[in-house]
Amino acid sequence: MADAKLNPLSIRERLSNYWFYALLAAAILLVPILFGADSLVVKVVFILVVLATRWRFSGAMILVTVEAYLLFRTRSDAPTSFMLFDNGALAVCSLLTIVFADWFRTHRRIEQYFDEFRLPVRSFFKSLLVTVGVAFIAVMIARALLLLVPLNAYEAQKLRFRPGELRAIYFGLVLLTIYGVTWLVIREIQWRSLTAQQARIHLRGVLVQWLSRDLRRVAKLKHRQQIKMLKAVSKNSTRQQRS
Amino acid sequence: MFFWAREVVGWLLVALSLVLVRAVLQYLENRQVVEAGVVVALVIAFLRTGILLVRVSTAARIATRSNN
Repeated sequence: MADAKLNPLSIRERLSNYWFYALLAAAILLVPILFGADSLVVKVVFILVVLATRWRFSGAMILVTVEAYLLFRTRSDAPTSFMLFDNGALAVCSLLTIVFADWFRTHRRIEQYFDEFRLPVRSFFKSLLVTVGVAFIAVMIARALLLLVPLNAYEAQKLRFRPGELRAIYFGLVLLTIYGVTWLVIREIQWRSLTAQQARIHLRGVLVQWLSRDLRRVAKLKHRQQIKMLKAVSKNSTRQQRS
Repeated sequence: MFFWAREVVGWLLVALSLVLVRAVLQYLENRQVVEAGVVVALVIAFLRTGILLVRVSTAARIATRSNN
């Protein structure tokens, strides 16, 4: 039980990881369909790109939009369900590799900050089993979701707007662009009149934002460790009082 | 010099996003809404990154100047 408490990932973080892994599994399953894909190099490159999104969420967003684009543009003649199940093994293997890489990366980074969070062997195997389970469930969910999506280019035809609606979107976008550019120019002129102190505060803010994920994780661990120590101290003091 | 280079890259990204806006308008003229939506997402990503780079480089330049 004590080992389980040492596990550095909180429930919330784990849930966000489940979402990420489910998305990742969906992306890996989609590769052969989108790229028409027998090439191993394409698969490997795509998996590496997906892996890179672990560090940069904006990269993930771009990837999702590219996939959406390909999804609507590609005509798939092969039965979708067959292709998804055919590539299931590749998805599970790739996902497991990525999950393990991520798992080791997280623990190593935390260990760099605090020696006391080094995981014991029992906890290591327990986490390993949980990770395998997560990967398997994520692939199953992704498969189920993808079977619901109509992978057919002709489905995009239904999304075509009427000319009047399209004109509204067109002029709306033009006005938004003009507004955005004007706003940007005014803001940038104002921005140049920053004082040195304000500039330093902004830079610190950006830096903290970039490192927020790791900092939050370390702060949580430190907090938990302090609570644990306090509990141990109070337990010892009550024992001494009783004796 | 390094901050100037960053600022130039930031402005280039902003310019690139404006070029992409033009592509979005062309897609809309051809009634390709899905494609336009995808490129809009790219425009937002480029614009945000560009503005961030410009702001950070300007702030860094001001902070460095005051230190010197």
